[in-house]
Amino acid sequence: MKANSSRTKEAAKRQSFEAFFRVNYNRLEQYVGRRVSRAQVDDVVAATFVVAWRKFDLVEQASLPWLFRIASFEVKSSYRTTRRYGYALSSEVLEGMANTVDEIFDTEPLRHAMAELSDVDQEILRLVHWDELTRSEIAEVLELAVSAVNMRYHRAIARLEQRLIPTTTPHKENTDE
Amino acid sequence: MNSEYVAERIEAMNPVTSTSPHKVEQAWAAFSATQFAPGRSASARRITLLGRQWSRLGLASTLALTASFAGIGIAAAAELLSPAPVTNLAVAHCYTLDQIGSNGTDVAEAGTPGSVAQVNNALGTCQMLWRDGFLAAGAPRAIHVTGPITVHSVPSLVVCTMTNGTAGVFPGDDTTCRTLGLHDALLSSSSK
Repeated sequence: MKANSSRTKEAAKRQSFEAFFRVNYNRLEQYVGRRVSRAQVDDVVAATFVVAWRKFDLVEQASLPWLFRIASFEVKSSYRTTRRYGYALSSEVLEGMANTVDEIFDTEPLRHAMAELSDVDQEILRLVHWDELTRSEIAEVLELAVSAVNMRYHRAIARLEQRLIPTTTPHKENTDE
Repeated sequence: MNSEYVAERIEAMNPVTSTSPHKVEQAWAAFSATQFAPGRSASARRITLLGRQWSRLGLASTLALTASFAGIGIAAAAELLSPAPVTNLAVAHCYTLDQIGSNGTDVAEAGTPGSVAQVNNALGTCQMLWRDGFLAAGAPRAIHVTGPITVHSVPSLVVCTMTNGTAGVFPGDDTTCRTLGLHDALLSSSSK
């Protein structure tokens, strides 16, 4: 009787996890793809789902931000494996960025300015502009208050802007002469 | 330059491409195969429920096979197919192939000698070694892992009683022990 009940519970958990897996797979793959090299994406995604499965019945409501939070640890672990510490963008990820160079703005300085930001600043910019999470979802991923997320975001973008000023006005020196 | 413009440029640099529609199906199939493999859970169940040794599958296949051998020696068949106790609990071996030979590594992990836990730990320890990348299919010995541990897929594992009485943990299914001429592992409930 007890065994039957346990089996039913396990089957329900699997069914529920399968739905969660299917709904969130693409978003997770994209999240991971923005942070590790292409060769590592599948491994990191798989590792994230393995951990998510283990913890699935421990959370009240499994959500995308919850999954991203697990993935963030797997991404860090992947960086350690490849001896790249922190969240600094790997050169391979930088290379993978869409290179939409236009006449007004070369993406190269932006890429490098972003890579020079602190881990926290980079991550918050990625979560806002690449992963397109809401501020409350980001708060869940980073385990911060929404107000703290807003503050950190504005500081991060201001710092990025600051870093870009010298590189985007290369002709100023000439005009001074 | 202003913040809105910078934000727009960041979005334009988004490195991600779209996911193939079949990818989710493939990924789910792979995930199910590694996490919910029937052979894996059956072997785990057999070891876990040592007091009630026979899983349904094990019982059904045993009965069928025993019946087929009835005419040529019921006793011999029963002897071959019945689970045997693990009598040497000091050490176990994690194999990386479904073959007896020099592959894999010895484990002598936690668990009071003579306890059910020791055999349970043999399976658990071997699973952990596979998961953490210390074992891989065909590896002649434990792999020296440098750097942090990452998660690897764990094959379906089964515990057999070796001829010297130790537990041998093989990649395989319910038929593996028999194929190797070994007994499925059984620890008598009296030794708990």
